[in-house]
Amino acid sequence: MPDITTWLMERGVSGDILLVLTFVPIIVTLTSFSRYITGIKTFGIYASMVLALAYYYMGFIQGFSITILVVISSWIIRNILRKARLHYLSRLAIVYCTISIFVLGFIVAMSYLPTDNPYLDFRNIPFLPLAMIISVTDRFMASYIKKDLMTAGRLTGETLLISLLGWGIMRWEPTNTFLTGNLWIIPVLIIINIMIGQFAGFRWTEFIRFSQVLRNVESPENTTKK
Amino acid sequence: MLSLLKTLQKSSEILGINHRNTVYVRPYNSLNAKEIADDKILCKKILSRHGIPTAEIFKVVRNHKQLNTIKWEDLPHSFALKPNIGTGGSGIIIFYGKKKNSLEWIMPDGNTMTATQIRNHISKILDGQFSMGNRKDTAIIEERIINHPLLKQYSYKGIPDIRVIVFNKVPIMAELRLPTYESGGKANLHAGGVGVGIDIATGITTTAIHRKGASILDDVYDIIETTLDESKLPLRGIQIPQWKEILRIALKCQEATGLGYLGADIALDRYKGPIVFELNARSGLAIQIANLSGMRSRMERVKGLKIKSVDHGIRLAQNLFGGQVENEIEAISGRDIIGLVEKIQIHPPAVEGKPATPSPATKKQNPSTTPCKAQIDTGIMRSKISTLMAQRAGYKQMLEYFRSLDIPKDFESREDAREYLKEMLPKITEHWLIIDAIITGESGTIRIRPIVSVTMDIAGTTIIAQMAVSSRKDLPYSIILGKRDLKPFLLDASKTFSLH
Repeated sequence: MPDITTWLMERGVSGDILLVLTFVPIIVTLTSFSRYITGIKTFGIYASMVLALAYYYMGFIQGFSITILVVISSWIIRNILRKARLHYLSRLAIVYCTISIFVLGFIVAMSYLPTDNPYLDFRNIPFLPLAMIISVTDRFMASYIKKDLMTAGRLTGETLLISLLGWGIMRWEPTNTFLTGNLWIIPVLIIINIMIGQFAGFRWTEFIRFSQVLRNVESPENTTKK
Repeated sequence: MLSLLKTLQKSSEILGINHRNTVYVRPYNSLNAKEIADDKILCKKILSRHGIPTAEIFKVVRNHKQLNTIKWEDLPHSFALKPNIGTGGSGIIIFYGKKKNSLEWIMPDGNTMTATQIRNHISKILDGQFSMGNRKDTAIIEERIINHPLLKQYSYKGIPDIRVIVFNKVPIMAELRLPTYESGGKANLHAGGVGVGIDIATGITTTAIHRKGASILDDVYDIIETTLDESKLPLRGIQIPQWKEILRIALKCQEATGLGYLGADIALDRYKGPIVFELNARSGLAIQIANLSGMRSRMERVKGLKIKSVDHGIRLAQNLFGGQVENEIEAISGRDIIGLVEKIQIHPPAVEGKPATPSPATKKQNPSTTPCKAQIDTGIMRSKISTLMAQRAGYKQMLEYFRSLDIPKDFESREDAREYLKEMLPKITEHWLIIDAIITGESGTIRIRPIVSVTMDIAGTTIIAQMAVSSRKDLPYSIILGKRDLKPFLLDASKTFSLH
């Protein structure tokens, strides 16, 4: 049977396309697994996927720095605009505009740092990953509005954790080579997601969440039915 | 390894989110039924058609054009503003009153909102800021529920509610949700409200929980014993008024909406009794922590059973799932033993607007309490206090109010008394100390007597008894304690007084 990867590359399909098309299923499966098996929630599939890809193409340190800047500035701006009489989308648009100013200001400020460290040079970061990171702003905003700061912070942290894992899988040479060379992984991930989708057991975090109840209930074989 | 296996086995008693969604919500809650639960206006329409009480809607605002036509001066002094398809209590604001001669309404935390600010908030609701999926939404202005005086003592402003989980026409589990200062007057546990488990059989509260402060995990709770405010009232042992009626209404909600797995949030209005606040098609699971019991095993027990009627469902639940209260009290440290007659200390009654402040029972007599002797009688359900003793204990004003109502002192029949009471009950319970009224037969005379909450120390324990005030002129003891209030104790007929 011909090696599909080799065949595709001979047909002119670039390595980057193969990379993205293998890693998107990996990252979304990771997001699904983290929610339904471990109980680690995120802002959903889009945010984790977009951030992981952005970190891969931009570099983790730079990508993560921009992400933190976006999270903090959207929280600050949201609090400033809280009492303003504005429609929801206009409010969101103002947040995006202000974030652009903050990011620009940050890039300029970093350019004045007296250092040769390339990780601290933001002047030539790729623009598409930058746009991808900024685009996750409305997920952060929605959580600040609907939930309290603690919950929004928790969700942000969990999203960043999954994105970091995704970036790690893409960045690590052995997984990178294996996945792009074995595209049969994609249909296998479909089967894995079907299994995750039907999983009805406890999420790992629920063992902690219901620990008081677990201490109190009897094992099923010890329960006497009335 | 063995302990891990045991934990895994025990986890099969508890309903987790995955199990709830795949085994109960998806198969038993059709799309139509979920839409009814998610849409408050539609839900009210359907419940009203089935004779189920809900809060009255004053105004519905569907778009910005309607928002511009609101006559602010026509809005009532107190009302609730809610998004129609909001989730988790977000976007809901309750207004308690209005500032004199101005268009400013007062919120639970004492701050005010002007008409402009309220308008702004409605605009956010319409734009979908609080709705599921940020979809465009409708704003509802509805009546504010007036707190039942018993539950009012335990809540910080806001409206406490009772959540009842119903499956296959059987009430599975219930929880009292109390607003706190932290939750800003909301009863939601996520917002910082207190959840208290309720024994299905008796309607008596058991364990109370409150969310942990800083925690890596979401939805983690501490077990607490008292309310979080200064009064520190015990949360265990509260008898929920009109308990059976609450269960009946919850089951009727299931019949009306077709939701197979349902969480019914029911508030107790001081005058109207139980009112459906909201229905949930994907009810949260922290109720299990408040009850220290798993729902999954309960639901599996009733799955597939044929339930003939609402009362049948309630009886089944009470037989299968009740008895938590007795189990817990015995488990804690054994009951206190009391005799046939006990010396008690009656605490002063609550002042209007403030909860009663029971002090811990001590050997020294508290100067503000009223000492007396109480007869213990397990042959009667309801405790009684004589008019004279009630007067001595500080209930004089209540008695005068009750006398001023000029209720007939003798009815021809119980039926007449019942009809009269049905009409007069809202008036009778207008006084903050009167929580209910009862029809009694005394020496052949049929009378109506008020029921009051009386806090007392007995045998080293503080209890809150709901007592009928009646004339006990010819009887040796001015207080008689009945079965309802004797659950924390064991009776030793050979004892006279406890040494406390």
